[in-house]
Amino acid sequence: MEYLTENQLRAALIYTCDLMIASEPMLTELDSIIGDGDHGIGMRDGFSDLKDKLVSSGFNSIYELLMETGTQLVKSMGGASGVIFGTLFIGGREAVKGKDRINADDLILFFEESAINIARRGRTGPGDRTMLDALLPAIDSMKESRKLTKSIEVILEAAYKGALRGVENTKNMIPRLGRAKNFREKAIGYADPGAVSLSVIFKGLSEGIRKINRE
Amino acid sequence: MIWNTDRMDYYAADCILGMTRVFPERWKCLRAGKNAGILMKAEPTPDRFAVIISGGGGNGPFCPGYVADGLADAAVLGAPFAAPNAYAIYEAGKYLGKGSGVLLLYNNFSGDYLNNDMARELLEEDNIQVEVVVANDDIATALNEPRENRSGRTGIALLIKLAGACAQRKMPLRQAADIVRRANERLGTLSMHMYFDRNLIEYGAGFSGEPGIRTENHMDMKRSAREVVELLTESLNPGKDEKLFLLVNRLRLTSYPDSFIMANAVYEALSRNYKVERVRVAAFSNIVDTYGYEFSILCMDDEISELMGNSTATDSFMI
Repeated sequence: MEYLTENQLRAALIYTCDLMIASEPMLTELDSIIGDGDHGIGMRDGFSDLKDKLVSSGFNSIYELLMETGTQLVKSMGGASGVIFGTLFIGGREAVKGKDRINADDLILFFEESAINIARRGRTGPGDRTMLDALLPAIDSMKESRKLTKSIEVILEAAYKGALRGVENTKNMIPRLGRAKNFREKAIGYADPGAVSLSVIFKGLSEGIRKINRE
Repeated sequence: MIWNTDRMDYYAADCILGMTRVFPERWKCLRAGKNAGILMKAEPTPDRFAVIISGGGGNGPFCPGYVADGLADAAVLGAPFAAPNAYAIYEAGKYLGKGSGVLLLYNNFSGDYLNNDMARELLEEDNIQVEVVVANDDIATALNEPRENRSGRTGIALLIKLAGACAQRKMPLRQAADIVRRANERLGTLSMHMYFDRNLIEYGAGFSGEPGIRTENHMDMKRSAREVVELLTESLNPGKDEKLFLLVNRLRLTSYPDSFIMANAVYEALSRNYKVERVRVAAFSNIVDTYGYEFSILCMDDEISELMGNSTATDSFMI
């Protein structure tokens, strides 16, 4: 698949919502060990509200779909996660503005811009043990994969694998931000819950697109 | 502890609805939504900038109890222990800031920073004038880091009062924000948690289990008052011409008479070397389920001291 339409992207996002909702026990368990245990519930509630929105509303464009997705996550989740995961969908919006369908290059640019905005807004960078430590390797993998193919499903699968590598690396990082920083060295050996959630999003998008392709 | 009801999504909203039910002459509700509520004064004051405070919804009186004449114009509450979302802060700012702008004032925690920063951008896109002040008075955090990395604590109560005083005088927003920022630079807070069963006093512990910066094995009140003064003045280094405002925040298990006896002990230790202009004692931010206090000191220059001169009463404390 070389292009993605608003309808297809929306279906993949709905699939992602279901996957995030199902991941709640795993995220809660992880965040209970090295955080205050509310990350999984927050993600579940945010993506559950998002699913309702995606199923019940119509969107005029990919731009509007992504904008509404990000806005809904900010509103439903609150806290730090709401803004950060909302910015994942809002931050790169200029890359898809005015487009009826997007290709792999648009998608890569979209996530690159999102990552820049997340880093700026969160005053954070690689190695701080945040979701960015999964997002940046995901983007690198997408770019590597793009050298060989224009296929969106192949590139999103590469993004998921890159994100998983990033999740593994967070196990060796000391948290610098948020309440996780109270755990410092105790966090070593465990993955960052935000990074895991980011990998769930790419897993959802990748599997969701593959599913649409088969149907 | 809070009562973990089956409506935790609406904890902030239910709190605000209760407050407006009890004191309709004081407060009204602008939003009572999922994970976010906006409380404002029953009668907004026109022709001046608005002070908007925000924070997680599991505690009090900070922040909803600070919506009062002479303090904040609105408070935006999130779910328990989670910052309210940016769009709720934006909504409050849009409602109140059309004329003379808004001052967003909050404690320095990741979620509060992120949502207020996003709200600031949204308001600026709507051409509403915004200034931001981030309280970072907790002297026990970010010890070897820049001051702006510190967390905020009860000291924000004094900044809200100062911002409210500037607003009442119809000061331009920019000028008021500069004054509140200047005060923030001269503000410090120290927590003191007491464990009678272990003969242990811990200074500087956080309210989410962060360890303190010093422990002492005694239960001697005068000695602890000296230790509090030592830790705070070491950090603040008050100047000879600065006047001090001492705020004593009573934590949940501390008794009312205890808090006045302790406030007096700290006042006496502090006034030995410094000019203490004013002391206030109350449950200003009833956040930790333990026996103990938070002590805040604001070092005031003449302008700030003059602005902090009048007393302001709310439903639950006087500041």
